[in-house]
Amino acid sequence: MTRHDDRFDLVTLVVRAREGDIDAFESLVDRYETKLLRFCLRTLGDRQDAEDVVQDTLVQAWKSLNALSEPAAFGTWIYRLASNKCTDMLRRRMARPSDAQDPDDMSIHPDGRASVEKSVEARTALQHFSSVLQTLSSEQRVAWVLHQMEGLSYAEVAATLGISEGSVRGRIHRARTAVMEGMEGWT
Amino acid sequence: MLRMCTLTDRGEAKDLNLVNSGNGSGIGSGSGVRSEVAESERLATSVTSVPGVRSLAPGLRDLVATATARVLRRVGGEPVGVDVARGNDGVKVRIDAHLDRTRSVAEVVDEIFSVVEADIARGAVEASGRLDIDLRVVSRG
Amino acid sequence: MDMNEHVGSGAEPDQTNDDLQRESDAQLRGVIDEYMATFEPEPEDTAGVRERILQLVRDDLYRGPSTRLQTEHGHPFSISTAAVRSIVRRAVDSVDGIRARSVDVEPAGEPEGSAATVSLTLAMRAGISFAPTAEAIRGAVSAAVLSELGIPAVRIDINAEDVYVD
Repeated sequence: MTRHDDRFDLVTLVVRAREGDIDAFESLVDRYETKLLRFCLRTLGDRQDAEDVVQDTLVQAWKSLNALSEPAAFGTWIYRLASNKCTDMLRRRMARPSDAQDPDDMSIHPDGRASVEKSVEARTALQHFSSVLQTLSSEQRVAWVLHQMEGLSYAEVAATLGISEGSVRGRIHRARTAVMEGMEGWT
Repeated sequence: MLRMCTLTDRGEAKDLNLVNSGNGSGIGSGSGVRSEVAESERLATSVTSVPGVRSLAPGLRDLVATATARVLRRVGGEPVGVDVARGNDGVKVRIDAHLDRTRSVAEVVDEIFSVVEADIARGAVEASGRLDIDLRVVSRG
Repeated sequence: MDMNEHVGSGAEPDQTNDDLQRESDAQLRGVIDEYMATFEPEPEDTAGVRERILQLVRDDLYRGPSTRLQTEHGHPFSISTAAVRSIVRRAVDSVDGIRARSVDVEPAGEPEGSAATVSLTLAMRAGISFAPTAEAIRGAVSAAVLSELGIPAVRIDINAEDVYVD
């Protein structure tokens, strides 16, 4: 498949990819990689972690394309795989108390890498916001990023995560409350 | 069954007993393994010279062999991509090949068979009994 | 569903409760926008990840299923099923207005593997007339299987399952 594959519809690409058409899969990677990387960066706040999740997600997608019953649902499916991996990674981070850093000590550099910084004086609202995000539970954080940053509706978030819309509302509401409280006085 | 005959590193003859253990063909057949390695290389050279063959691919045994070689600290062993195994009734030659698109697959396959048979006919590969060529085209492009 | 890159406020047209939430969202919007701008993937990041993904996928493909065939001189061989499908796909794609989707190639003939049967599904451009096009596809597939694989295709089943608009 030469580079006219830009024109190929999603279903054709998925059907071909799951039969071993690596060019078709490459087209899928081209279409989704940047979006996924952006989503994972926003959710995880760490470049290396985000790259690892995107790599694992797309390789897993390749290996389990047969599990996708509706090729047209590839977009939702791939976001679900990535969301689950982000959630797992956030949970693992939170389960390691020795790695946990005092949010007030953290600063976010423009390239997204978090580092420990002793001085609290030069904090910006952005830096504080990043640290507040880290206090959210992994489920809240993923749902909130999908809704607030990826622009998905509640129904779309529910479809992506495979949970009820009610659960989505609950998570986003709690996330929003925590963020509002945390950002009190900063905006 | 672990076949170490695809290793090209032949420097450490005294280690061949270690390498051979567990494969059922008996410990102490050092010179046998050495010659199988040489045979693999000869066949590999013949096969890769067939037009339409892009390269040989390490088979599963090669990957296991390479991993084991690392454990035994053998360096420089490259997977050859041709595996020669001797059983009770004859010789089995296993080849995993990447082809290009210059010729039809069947043409290349026929020629691979004929160069392997020719190598055996001229004694480059010791063969008695049945010859079984197990050829897999891994990719074509 | 369109997983597009547009970011809206994400607000739901719900009860009055959401009005309050919309207001608090607006206050936060500046910080959120700034945060989002911080995490833009660099082209070299995506390129690196892409290369690693494709290499892992290629390795996985090499270990994929095989199809057992036989040359007309009686030499049996295995070939990666993906490679066989690729031959057929290319032939189908070469027909104007046609895109191959699913391809299945099975060993056939006597001895088995000396011939092949092909069944395939495709998407065709709106306005294409199917019957003459199916003939063109059959011709292209038959010729490709014979010249690229070196094995005759004894049956080619074609199923148009979708229409696309360019």
